[in-house]
Amino acid sequence: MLKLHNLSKVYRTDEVETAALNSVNIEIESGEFVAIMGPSGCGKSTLLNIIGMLDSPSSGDYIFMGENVAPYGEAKLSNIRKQHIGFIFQSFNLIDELSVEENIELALLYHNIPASERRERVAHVMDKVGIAHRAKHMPSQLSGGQQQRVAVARAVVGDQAMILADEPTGNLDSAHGQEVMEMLQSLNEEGTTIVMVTHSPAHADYARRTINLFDGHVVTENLRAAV
Amino acid sequence: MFENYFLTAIRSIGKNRLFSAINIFGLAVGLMAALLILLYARFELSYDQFWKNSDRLYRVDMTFRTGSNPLAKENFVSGRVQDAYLSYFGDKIEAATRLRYLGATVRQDADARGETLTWADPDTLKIFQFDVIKGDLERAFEDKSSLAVSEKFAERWFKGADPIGKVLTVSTFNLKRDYQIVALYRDLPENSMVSDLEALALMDEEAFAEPQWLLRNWGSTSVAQFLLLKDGVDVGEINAQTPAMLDKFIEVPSGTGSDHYAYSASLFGDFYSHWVSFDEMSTARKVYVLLAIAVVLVLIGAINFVNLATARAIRRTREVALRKVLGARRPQLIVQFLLESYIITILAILMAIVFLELALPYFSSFLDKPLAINYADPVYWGVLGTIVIFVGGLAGFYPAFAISGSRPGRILLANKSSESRGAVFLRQVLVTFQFAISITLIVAAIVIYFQTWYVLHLDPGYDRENLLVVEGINRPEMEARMIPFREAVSRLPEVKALTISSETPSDGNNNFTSIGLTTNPADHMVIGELWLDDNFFDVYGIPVIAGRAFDESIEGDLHIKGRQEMEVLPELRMMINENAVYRFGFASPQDAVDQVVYWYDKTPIRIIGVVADARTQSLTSPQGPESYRLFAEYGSSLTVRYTGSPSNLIEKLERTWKEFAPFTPLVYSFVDEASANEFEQEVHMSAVLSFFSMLAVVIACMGLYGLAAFTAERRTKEIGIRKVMGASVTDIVRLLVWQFSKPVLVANLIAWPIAITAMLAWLESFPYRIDTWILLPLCIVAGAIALTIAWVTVGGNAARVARSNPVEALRYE
Repeated sequence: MLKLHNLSKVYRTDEVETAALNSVNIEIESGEFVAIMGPSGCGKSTLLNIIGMLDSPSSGDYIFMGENVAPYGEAKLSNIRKQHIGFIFQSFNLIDELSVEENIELALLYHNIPASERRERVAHVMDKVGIAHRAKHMPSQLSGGQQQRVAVARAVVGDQAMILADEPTGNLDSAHGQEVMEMLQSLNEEGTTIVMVTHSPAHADYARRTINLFDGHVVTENLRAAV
Repeated sequence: MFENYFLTAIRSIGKNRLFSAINIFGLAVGLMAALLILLYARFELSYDQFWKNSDRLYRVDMTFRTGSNPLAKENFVSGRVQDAYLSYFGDKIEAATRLRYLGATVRQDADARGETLTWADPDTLKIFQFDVIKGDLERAFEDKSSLAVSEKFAERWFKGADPIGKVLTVSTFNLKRDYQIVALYRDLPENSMVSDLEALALMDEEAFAEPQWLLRNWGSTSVAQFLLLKDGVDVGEINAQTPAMLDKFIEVPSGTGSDHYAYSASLFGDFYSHWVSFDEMSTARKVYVLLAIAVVLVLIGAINFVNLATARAIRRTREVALRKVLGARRPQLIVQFLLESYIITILAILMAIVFLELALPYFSSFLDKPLAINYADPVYWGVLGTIVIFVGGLAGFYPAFAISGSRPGRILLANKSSESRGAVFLRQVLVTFQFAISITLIVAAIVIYFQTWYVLHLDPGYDRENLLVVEGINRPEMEARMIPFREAVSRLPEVKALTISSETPSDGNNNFTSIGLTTNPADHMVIGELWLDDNFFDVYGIPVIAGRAFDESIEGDLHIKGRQEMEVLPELRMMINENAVYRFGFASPQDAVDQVVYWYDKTPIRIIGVVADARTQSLTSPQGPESYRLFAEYGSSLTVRYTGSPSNLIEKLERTWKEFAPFTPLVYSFVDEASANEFEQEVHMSAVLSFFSMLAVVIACMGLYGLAAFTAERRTKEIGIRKVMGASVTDIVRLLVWQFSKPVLVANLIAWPIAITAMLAWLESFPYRIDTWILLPLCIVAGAIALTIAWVTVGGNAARVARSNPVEALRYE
């Protein structure tokens, strides 16, 4: 699916230079479920943003589906991103002014898909995550767990091959957290590649592989024994 | 506590520089315009309010009533009506005076100039108060050879030397006399209809007995008539009895005096602002229109304030929540926010005064009014104070209540802020309102511009290029030599053709008589009367459409003088215009030829020819019937059709004129310029409106820019999410631009009917006007202008926001 080779990311401000990622080498196969762990400030989110093409690396190669995307500009990245990658955020990032179904439809809006097909696919995915009865509600009327389910639905409605989840359970209580994890697991079983940043060892256990980051380096990679 | 509020307010203003600048600047520009209009309005409405007895000082106007077609009201009246008033209402009138303005040639040794002098009755001093600098004003009215002059006049003639005792030779009509200057008075205030009284002398009835129309004719509009009524006299009563007075004093060959004339007296203090001669707008109405614009401009500025303050309120909800947690009560918060609003209003008004001082010189010279801020004037400070209290309160009221009403728990715990739908809706409504006003003003400015252009480029029915008019060839020195002068001018190489006539398009003078199909006065109608030579229609390029043109060599074409002394009234001849054909009731111009009609004194007149209608009179009144008579002696102007450079011609004309009339200055004008001058007022109005509508649009757009900037900021998260979902920069810009297009589109729907209704009413007052269907495309143009400006305003900012990296927006949630 993707391969990071000697990838570095340096943030420059006026006075200091901070290396968020330092010569990272990671390979993720299609269909994998990978968790990225590490303390705050270790570069987890930067790594996820680069994988999600929301940010570009300072140096190194990023081969996505056989293409080196590291030198690509924003417009090109945006095209690849909207076709292949879905996002789930810790703070849900739903648009407050749009209803549940409109939020989900948003992921299809920029894909030139006819309205009737969009409605069908949105309805289907809402059924799948169990939020169909809330279709007309606004995000502010939903619980955190429900909002994250909407976000999951939005991430997969476009048949994305890979989902990037940035601490998807961080703002949820344990019951709702588990619910979301189970949803991700079942998506993975259907073939979606999932890369997830998390603080919770318990939730990392859902992944087949855990990458531990510390100060911008990959320190360990442990493969979980088959259940 | 108060210090803390004050500091917070000042810091908040300083911290949000963009918003504060938009607020203060927008409000300042609106207030500047409003103050300017107020100054103008105050000046216009202050005309002649300052006379000592202004509550019982009246001026008389007159309307010709003959026949059925309405005529313009005249503010100059017959020189005979004063005697009628005094003898009919003697016990009710304390004082009465006539002012007769008359162009005269004034000479001192070799220095000869044209001046307008005023001959007046002795009661002038009981009615008007003059500020005498030197000499004795009463003496000016004791004999017929004393003159009182104003500072301006004295400066012009004596350049600072003492004018008292100096002698000037004055000649006009049958009067030629030495006048000694006996008094010098301060120039009258500019806000007076008689501010042009520069030289005063006693009215000399005997010297002005000839020509009759100077003073003795009921049909002349020759004097300004003033009446000072006694205390407690009701002017309504006098006006009601005026027709009876006219019946008693006016001898007409047929009918009664009140059939032919209507007189009425109205308060001199209202005369300037309420004066309407025909269908045009009175000064008072114009002032009210401008005052409405002033209010609207301040409103637009204040709306920016409300919009930006409520929009920004969300960012301040945390501050409010913290203050509440620390024990602030709601009234205290309201006071704090109102204080902020007042500080901004005061800053804005200070800036407005600076702007105003910078703009005033231009406006004064443009409007030709001496406008100035009088800092010692309590009214001025009162107005400023009222504006501050009103605008500051209006602008601060809603934000203060909206912001202070938020509940602290929700804001601090949920760590999120969402705006109430009410606030969003209110903003939309206000933006819509701003743009509706702007669009209406744009439409008005464009329509006025088009209408003015249209009238100026209207085919007048004659060729007005290359026509020069030498005026006043009937002045005493020249009158007897009029015809030889015409011969001399005709020999100049630049002159292609020339004609003498009593009226020209450039003098704006209307002369009327009454003619009918029978001798019965009830059948008579008022008709324009022009005296001319037989070249007139050739020179002006007016085609003869039926019958024939005058020819001096055909016996009987020439007018016959002194017919009243003849035993049998002779038959006269005339030509008429097409309009007169139909007014008389003839089926066609051909039918009118060779018909006999009757003058007011039953003299038969044969119609020998008909010319096409030509708008040689004012374009501000409708085309009326006109009659033409062949008699150059009654002419007053010489019209020259020239080729080549006018400056060469003028030089040669000056030389020729000097040979004939060495002591009278040559006065000339160009016909095309004169008709353009007639629309000076409309051109001014159009420029003033364009200026204010531009200001309105600028202020509205500044507000829109602020709102767009704020909205983009508030929607950063949403924009980030949309970009993550694959939205391109164009998608985002379109999203934001559309959001702000909606209020502008709705504003169009509101503005169009208002603008169309108002402009239709305005166009009504023009006899020649643009097709009304043009209003709709003009509305569309105005709407497109507003929309484009809004797009440019919002689009630039939206593009910047849309290009930013979504990660920034989403990370710092």
